[in-house]
Amino acid sequence: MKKPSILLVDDDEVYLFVTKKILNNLSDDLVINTFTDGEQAIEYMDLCMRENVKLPEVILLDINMPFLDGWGFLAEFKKMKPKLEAQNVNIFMVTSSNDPNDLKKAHDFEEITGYIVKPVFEDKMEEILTEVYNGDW
Amino acid sequence: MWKRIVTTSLALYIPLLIFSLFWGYLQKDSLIKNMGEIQQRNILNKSYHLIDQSIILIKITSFWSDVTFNESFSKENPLDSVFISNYIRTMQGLDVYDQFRIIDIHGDEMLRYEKVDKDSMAPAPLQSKTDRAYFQKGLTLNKGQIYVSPIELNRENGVLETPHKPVIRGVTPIFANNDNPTGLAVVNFNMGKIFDLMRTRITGDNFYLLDKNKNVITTNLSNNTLPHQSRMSPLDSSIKKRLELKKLIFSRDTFFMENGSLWVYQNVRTGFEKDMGMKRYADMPDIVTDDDWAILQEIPHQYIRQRLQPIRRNLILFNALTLIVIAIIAMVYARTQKERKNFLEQLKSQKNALVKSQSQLNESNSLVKNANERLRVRNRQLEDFNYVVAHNLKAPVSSMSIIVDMLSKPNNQDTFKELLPKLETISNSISTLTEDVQTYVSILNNKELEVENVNLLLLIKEVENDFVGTLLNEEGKGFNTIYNLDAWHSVKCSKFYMKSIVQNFLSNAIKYRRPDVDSHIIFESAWENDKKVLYVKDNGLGIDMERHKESMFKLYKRFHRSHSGKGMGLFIVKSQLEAMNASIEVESEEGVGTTFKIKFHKI
Repeated sequence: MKKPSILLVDDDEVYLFVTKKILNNLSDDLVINTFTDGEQAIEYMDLCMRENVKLPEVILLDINMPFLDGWGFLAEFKKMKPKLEAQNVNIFMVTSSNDPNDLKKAHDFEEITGYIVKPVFEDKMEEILTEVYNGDW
Repeated sequence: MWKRIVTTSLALYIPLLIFSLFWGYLQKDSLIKNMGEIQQRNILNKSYHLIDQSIILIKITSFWSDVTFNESFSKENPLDSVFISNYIRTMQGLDVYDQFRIIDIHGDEMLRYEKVDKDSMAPAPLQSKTDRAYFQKGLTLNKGQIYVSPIELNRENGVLETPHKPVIRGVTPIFANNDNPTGLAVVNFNMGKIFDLMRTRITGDNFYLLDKNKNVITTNLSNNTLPHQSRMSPLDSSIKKRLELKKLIFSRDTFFMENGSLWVYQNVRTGFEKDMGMKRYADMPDIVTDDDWAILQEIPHQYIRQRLQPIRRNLILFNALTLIVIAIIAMVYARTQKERKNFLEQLKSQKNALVKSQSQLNESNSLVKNANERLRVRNRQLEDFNYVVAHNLKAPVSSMSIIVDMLSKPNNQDTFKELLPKLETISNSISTLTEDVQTYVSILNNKELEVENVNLLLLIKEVENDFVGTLLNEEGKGFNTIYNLDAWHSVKCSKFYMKSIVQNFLSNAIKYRRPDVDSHIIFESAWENDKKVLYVKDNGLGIDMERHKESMFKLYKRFHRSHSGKGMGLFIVKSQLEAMNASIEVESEEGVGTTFKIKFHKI
């Protein structure tokens, strides 16, 4: 079985560093990719599809980013969804704000699996991974 | 007000005045005519006195033309004494009968009886009447003819008798058996009593009996009778003068006004002439006369005035009443008019007030609308601010809390070394964020914005000069700033903000130009819905609107990875425009260019 693949999209480099560290603490078998904005992330997804590389099962997506924000990423992702075939991609919105507008907007996207407010501590991260992989990670 | 009253009064009064004057004139005319007619009847009555006396005189005189005298009739052989005494006895009862004489053909009286007392006549000394006109006239008469003399003052022995006695004589020739003329019978009537009767007044009128030469025979103004035959007193002269009337030239019946008096002139119809057609003297002998009488009645000025007094009084009374009534009407009319005018003015001012309050309402409505709009903008700004703080401030804080959590766990030295520099990064990013937020808050909080009329052309030129060095790129392609500010070139705004905005646009246009073409930025002014609009167009790289439409003016948004930038510029531009009550929209196409549209609302 292939290693679980996780995609982190956030413009906060400290967050990326810290989150990567947490994930590595949880498991050594995780494939972790990071991007600092939605545009790069969607380009990566596009590339994976074209190269027939398996897409990450978990995407932790920030909302507020330059070039293309979380919503923009979701919009683009929605467009490529028909080509995804049976691949399961769990997108978690990870944001520092518990802005009710954002929360409401998130409900309108059926692509979204969860909405997480920062900070994401180790136990929370474990919970997410357990949920996605049914403990099989 | 008074002017209006006077004008209205006059307009109403003048026709009534004319009418009343005309009515007055008619009244006066009819009164005078009426007085004239009364006087005509009066004259007629007075004429009868004269005519009656004349008839009696003629009848009594004609008696003698039928008496046959003896051929021997003379002074020495007189009439039968019984016959004459009977005659005298009969005649002396007649009041006016004054004298009876028989004069021979030589002019010597043969018989003479005079009235000596009221009821008695007596013989008197004989006189000679040879040179008297009535004797001369008598000689020319045929048998049966009667001569009626003019009325004269009586003379005895050729001398005026005093006191003066007006007499009229009837003369007829007498004949003897052989039809030889024997002499004349002369009867004298004393007219004094008759004149007294005629002089009576029925009103304040003056009476004049005139002969054919318009000499006064008698008048009720003077006691003198026939003054022209004796001596004229000053009074008589003045009366004569008074009767020199211009309108009385012909001896024709008339009445007229002259010298303020009403004059009524009428001839006395004696009817002596047989061809008059009057029956009065049908069985009479021929009547010969050489005089005519006329009666003139004068109604003097004072009396007419007195008679006109009621008319004048009525006229004045009528006019006074009319004036009062008209003045009241005019006053009421003027007052009504004034009240109407006041009412209209009041209505007008009420209407004006209504219009004014309506416009005030509109004004305050638009103020409220404006305030609402501003509040809405402000609300959104606050939400944006909240969002910025929530995301961008909370992010490093949450990272920090994780780091702190990690550090608090038992760790090796490596982890510690790894994590410490991250804290510095966080602190840097927080301080940057704090500065940026401060910039934004200062725009939001700028309550007393210094607003002035800014000449956009000058402002753009000024900013342009700061960019001189950057106008040529490496490939030698130029950059032009184009102005099209014909519609307007000055706008009320904050010069400081406007300068910052233009700087942002210009620097963006230069920064994000396409390297392979000549680049430009166009500033174009226009009017849309009475509002000033500024278009800022460039032919730069452009932005994918589908992706970025929502994020165009948000903080820390960037659209071109190849160029460094903080993602602050358009966010600040929008905030500054909103602070100046302006709004901004954008259209863009990648590889074509970007157009910003700025709408200035009234400040």
